[in-house]
Amino acid sequence: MIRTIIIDDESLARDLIRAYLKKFEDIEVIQECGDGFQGLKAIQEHKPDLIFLDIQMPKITGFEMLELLEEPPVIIFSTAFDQYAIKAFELNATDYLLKPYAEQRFTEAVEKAKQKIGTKKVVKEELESLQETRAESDESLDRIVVKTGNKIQILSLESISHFEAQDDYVAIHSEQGKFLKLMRMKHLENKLPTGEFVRIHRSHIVNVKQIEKLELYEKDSYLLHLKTGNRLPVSRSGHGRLKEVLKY
Amino acid sequence: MNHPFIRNKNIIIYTIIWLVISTLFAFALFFFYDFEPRIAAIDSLVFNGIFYGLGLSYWFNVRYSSFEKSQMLNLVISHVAALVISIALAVFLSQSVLRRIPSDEEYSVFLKDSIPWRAALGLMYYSIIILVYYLILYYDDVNQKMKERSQLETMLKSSELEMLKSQINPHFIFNSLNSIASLTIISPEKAREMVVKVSEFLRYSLGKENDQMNTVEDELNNIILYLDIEKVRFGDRLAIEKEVAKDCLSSTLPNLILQPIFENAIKHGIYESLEKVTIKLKTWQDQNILKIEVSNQFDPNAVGKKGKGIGLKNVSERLRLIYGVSQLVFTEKTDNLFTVRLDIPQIATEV
Repeated sequence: MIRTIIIDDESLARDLIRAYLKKFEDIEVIQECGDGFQGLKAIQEHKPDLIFLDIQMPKITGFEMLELLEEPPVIIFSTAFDQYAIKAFELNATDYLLKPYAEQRFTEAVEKAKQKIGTKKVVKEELESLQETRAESDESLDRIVVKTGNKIQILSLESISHFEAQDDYVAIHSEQGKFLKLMRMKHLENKLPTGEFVRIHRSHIVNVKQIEKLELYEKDSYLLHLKTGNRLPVSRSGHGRLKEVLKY
Repeated sequence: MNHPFIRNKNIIIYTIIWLVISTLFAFALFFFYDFEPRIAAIDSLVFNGIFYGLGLSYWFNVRYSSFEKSQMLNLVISHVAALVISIALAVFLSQSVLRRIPSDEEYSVFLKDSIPWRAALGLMYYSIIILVYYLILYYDDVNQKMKERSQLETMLKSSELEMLKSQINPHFIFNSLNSIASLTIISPEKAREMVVKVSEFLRYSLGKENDQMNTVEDELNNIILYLDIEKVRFGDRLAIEKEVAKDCLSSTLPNLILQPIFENAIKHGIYESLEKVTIKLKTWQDQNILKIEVSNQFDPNAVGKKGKGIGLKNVSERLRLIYGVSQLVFTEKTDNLFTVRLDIPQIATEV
């Protein structure tokens, strides 16, 4: 039996998926969720084989929810209109349904998903390449969702003073505390709004509004003081970028 | 604005032109008056050299005297004054320098006789240089205007595009169609109803010209359609309260001006919240002004996704272009309530 969860904030959209799924005797809908929070909880609790996931939802989006999952199930995205997301889908193997979709198209997606169930590695790789494509798109970030234990926190960019690379993770220093998130500095740098954040060093990105002063402490080498009291090294190319953004 | 003869190495061209004039001048003295080449050259260099310097200074007279009609007299006075001063200066300076050149009697006589035509030549130099300055100013002005115009055109185009985009949100259309697909299975009757509503909404929204004025009644009917459709999608999550004064139903407003405002209310209210959200609409007439107030609850804890304010900015810009008044959109934000008010002037129709 394939266990599935439907995550969509519109009940009619969930009803439709449920109705289309009726003819699949080997698929069981174990829960329906109306937002990403609920979805995350349900996935962690039930460990489903397959999920149907909408992208635009209250609280956190479908993508943000996925970022918090360590072992994602097989996913069929179902979304109406999101230029960046659709582009990302088109470039990757992950399956997606564009609302409204035909029953035949739905059936194809489910058949494809069925073959993938159990191949955890494929699922993870597909998802990673999808996230990577999204990271390279022009869509800019306006918040970051993090998880500590069972608690989900949504950090606004304004509340973040700086990012620090730590191996495969990025440490996010914000008013709410320090959080670790699996992501790459390069992607992060791309996605942050230009002019508001600057990469001052291979392993540091700072919020421009949090800069207190720039100190020259050796020839050609600078130290950046943040309002939070942190002092961060500035590389030569980082200094160039800083100059450009602060226009001095 | 910098000096046109000095910018972009123009000074080189200016200098070359004067060197040519000086050479011709010297040759004229040499051929027609039979002066020694040395004297002809010195005379030419001194006299034309003075105008070389004066010519550069004329710019300030051109640049800083305006061409407005009321200032015409001032303009004439300033040019006549500059002309008289520069001729007097040129003649006096050249005479006093050239008199000191050791030369023959013939040249001294010539020097005295030359005063009238030197003055005439000065007048010619002045006129030509001023004319060139005005041509440059005019050319710069035309260039500047063309640049501004193309900028304006691109701005207009992008705002028109934004307006078209904001009129109907594709996300809304596709999700509505998906709801219909779902209803055909669950409740075919409701699906039919929804198809009719979406069609009516589209017919109204697509059929209107941008500059059209509509009655409050028509516009509100369309908004109600829109909200009804969203209600089918979101069910109990969306509640609507409306309070419309009867005397403003026939007032007019630009078509679809309310659409982006309600879309915002839905977007920030419903799309980002799990709770039930109430959208309130209130319209009333205050003398010659139609007032429309739209408020929506929002989740104060929602982070990010602030929107870029393009919708409201477009509404404000459209109203400014139509009515020529800049402050017609007012917004207010409290803990969990966002309110927008539009003041739509009702233009008196009497002849």
